[in-house]
Amino acid sequence: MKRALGLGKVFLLIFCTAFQGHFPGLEPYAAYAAQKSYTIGVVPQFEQRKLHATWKPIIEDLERRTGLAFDLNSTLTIEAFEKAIERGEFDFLYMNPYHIVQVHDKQGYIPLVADKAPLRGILVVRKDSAIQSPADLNGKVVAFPSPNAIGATLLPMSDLGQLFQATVRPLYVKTHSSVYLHVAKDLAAAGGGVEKTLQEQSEELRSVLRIIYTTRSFPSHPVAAHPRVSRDVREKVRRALLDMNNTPEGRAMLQKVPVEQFISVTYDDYKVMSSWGLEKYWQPVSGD
Amino acid sequence: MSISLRTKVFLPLLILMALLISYLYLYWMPRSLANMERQCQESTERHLDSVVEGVIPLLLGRELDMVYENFDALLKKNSDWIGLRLTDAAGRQLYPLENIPAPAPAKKVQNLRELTMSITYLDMNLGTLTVIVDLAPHLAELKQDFNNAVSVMLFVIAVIVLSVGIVLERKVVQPVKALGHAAQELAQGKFDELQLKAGDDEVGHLVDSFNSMRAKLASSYDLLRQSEQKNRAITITANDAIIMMDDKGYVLIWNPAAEGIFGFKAGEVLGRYLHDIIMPERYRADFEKGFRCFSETGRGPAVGKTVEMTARRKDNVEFPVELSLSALQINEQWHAVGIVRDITRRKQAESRLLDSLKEKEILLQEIHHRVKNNMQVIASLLDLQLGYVGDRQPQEIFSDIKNRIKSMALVHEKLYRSNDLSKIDFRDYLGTLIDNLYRFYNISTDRVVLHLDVGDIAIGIDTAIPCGLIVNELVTNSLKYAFPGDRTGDVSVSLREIAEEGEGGRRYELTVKDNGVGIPETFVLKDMKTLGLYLVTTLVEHQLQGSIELNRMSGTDFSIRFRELKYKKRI
Repeated sequence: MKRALGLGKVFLLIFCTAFQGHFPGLEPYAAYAAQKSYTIGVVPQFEQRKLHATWKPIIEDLERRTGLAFDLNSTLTIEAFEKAIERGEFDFLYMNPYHIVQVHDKQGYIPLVADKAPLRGILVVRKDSAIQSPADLNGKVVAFPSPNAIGATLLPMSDLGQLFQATVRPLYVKTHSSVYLHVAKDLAAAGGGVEKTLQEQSEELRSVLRIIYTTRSFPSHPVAAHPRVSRDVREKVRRALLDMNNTPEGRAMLQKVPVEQFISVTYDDYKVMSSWGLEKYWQPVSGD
Repeated sequence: MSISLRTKVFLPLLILMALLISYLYLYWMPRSLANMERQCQESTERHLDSVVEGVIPLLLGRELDMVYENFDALLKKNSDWIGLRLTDAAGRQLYPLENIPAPAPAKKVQNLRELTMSITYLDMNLGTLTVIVDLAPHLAELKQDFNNAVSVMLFVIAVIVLSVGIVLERKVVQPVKALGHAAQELAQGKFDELQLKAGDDEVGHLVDSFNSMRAKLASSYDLLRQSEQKNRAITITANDAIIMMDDKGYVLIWNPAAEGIFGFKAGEVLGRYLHDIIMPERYRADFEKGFRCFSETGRGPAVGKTVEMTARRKDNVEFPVELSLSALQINEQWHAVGIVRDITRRKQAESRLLDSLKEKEILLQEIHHRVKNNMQVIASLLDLQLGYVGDRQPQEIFSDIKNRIKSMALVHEKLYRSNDLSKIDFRDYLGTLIDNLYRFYNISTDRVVLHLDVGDIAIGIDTAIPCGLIVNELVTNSLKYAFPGDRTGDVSVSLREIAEEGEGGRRYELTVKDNGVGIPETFVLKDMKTLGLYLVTTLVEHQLQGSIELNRMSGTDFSIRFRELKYKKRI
């Protein structure tokens, strides 16, 4: 299908080039034809199959709405994704909120939209655990998804150290779900996550967990654009993403991200995190 | 025991079906289920091995959520996997979320199979993965497939059997039944059954052949029946006995004429030994000897010939028969057909004919003898006449001679006109003789009345001729001399049988008398001078060996007594 569409586009390109100015309605296609496909990178928050199953319909809808072409990209690990961000490999991004602050000076990614609901980090223990306070975690193994996850790792680690003087042994288990399972299966004394991802877990899993701490709130994951992308294109993408809120199909697709409702955001919404002192816990990726 | 064609066809099919079903259910299905179970187990083991390979990096990367997602997906996709249990090296259960008791050692619970595999990587024990597989769906599916296959097979076989049955019923059984019925009818000689419809197949060809055969048989049977009717008519209406016997001598055919001739009804003799019935005892030995040869070769002295022989009736009376015997072979056994004619009457007729012939031969000889005798008598009469010529006129002499010869000739005339050439009706003879004399001498019976009194007497020629000559001479004398002129009177001639009878035959008394002028008293019969009376006395005494008396009381009355001469055969 896509191959057929590609051939159709080539045909349209030749056709529109030959008759440019005579068919004003075909201008978006002409613009598209003039631009190569835009890469859009998605943080590997899920395993690759699930990630593609979640984002591919959104990308296709985005293409339909903007008339632009996008290539969905991701990496196997968050570390690799962070490296790619630092290299500015993606034209568009769905990324960790704190990443945009971290790479702002290097790449200057421009936030376009983010979920309306802010995020709050949490610390969970087994419901039958003796641990009642974050302070009880001192010296314990605590599971985290990855070192630089703002809500699940950086903020809880920061608060554990600064507010509760507790030093924990971090155990990085890739994803939020893995964190919750490690706690549920008693493989870790506690785990760091965010409210939103805990709510996405099964009732069975949630029923064996207990939240012992919730961090301050922060803006949700943004969709950002590299500055090399023209303003028109950025705005087209923003508009299209915002328009997805207006259709049941769009909302259903965004629910799987999970996004309750996209709103327009700016870098200013994220800039505040630079003052939270999280640099101490940030683990820059090494090598290329 | 009679087994129908339908049973013969269907029974093997049904037995085959039963054997096939038994084989499928008792051998093939259990074996297939065992194979299926083994294959399932092997497949699960291979699958589990792949899962283990996949789960190693997840465990190493602590991606427990991915483990859960993958295991959940596995359980969702593999409906026969009813349980997965992952434990780490310390024995802690990692999957599923809810802790479940450690599985019992692998065991078979109905169709549940538990497979356990260790997860190791680079000598690191990462844990153990246990899967519980329910083979029931596979086995149930296999059983269902098997049952479906068997059902389809049974249905197909049933359809085939039904189709074969219908085709067999319509194309074979019904035609063969009809053919059988028609054959039975045919066996009973009913040729007018409905024409059988023939299809264009082997049975149809058989039916065609049967129809053709029946038509030919009907034609042959009709001819045979006509022939049989003719033969039966011949046999029944034949005047001769038609008897058939087999090679053992037992009676097979005994027609009505045989019943009439021999007196035995057919029911009394059929199946019995023929020659015990009709063969006189004295011929049995010869017959047995000849019959043994006949029964072996079909030949015999009487075969192919017509012979006369003696047979015996039911009342043991023997009688002559004429037998025409012929031999025929039936089923390579010699049979004899005899046509027997009762020739009793013919034999009697032949006997009579022979008697008659012999009689005629004798008579012929006798005629010659008599001719010779008569010639001698005539010669003697002429010779005698020569001695009595005297002065008599020749006409008178010849007339006398002629009358004498006529009396002799009249005897022969009466003889050849009589039924019995040996005897003559003497009353008729005398009537004619005397009538001739009346005519010769021209004397009216009104003037000389004749009284002829002769009974119903037949006399042989030997006696008749002398008697005739005697009567000729005496009546001639009466007519010539007793009534001279116009004198009237009576002449009486009588012949009667005298009651007494001695040896040598009947005795008679001949009387010739008249009431004429009479013979003078001087006339002595023994000394007569006339040839006539000389002849009379000579004939009475020498020829008839009798006696003669003359009574002259009233006219002339000659009374002659004699015995009829015995007939002398000349051969």
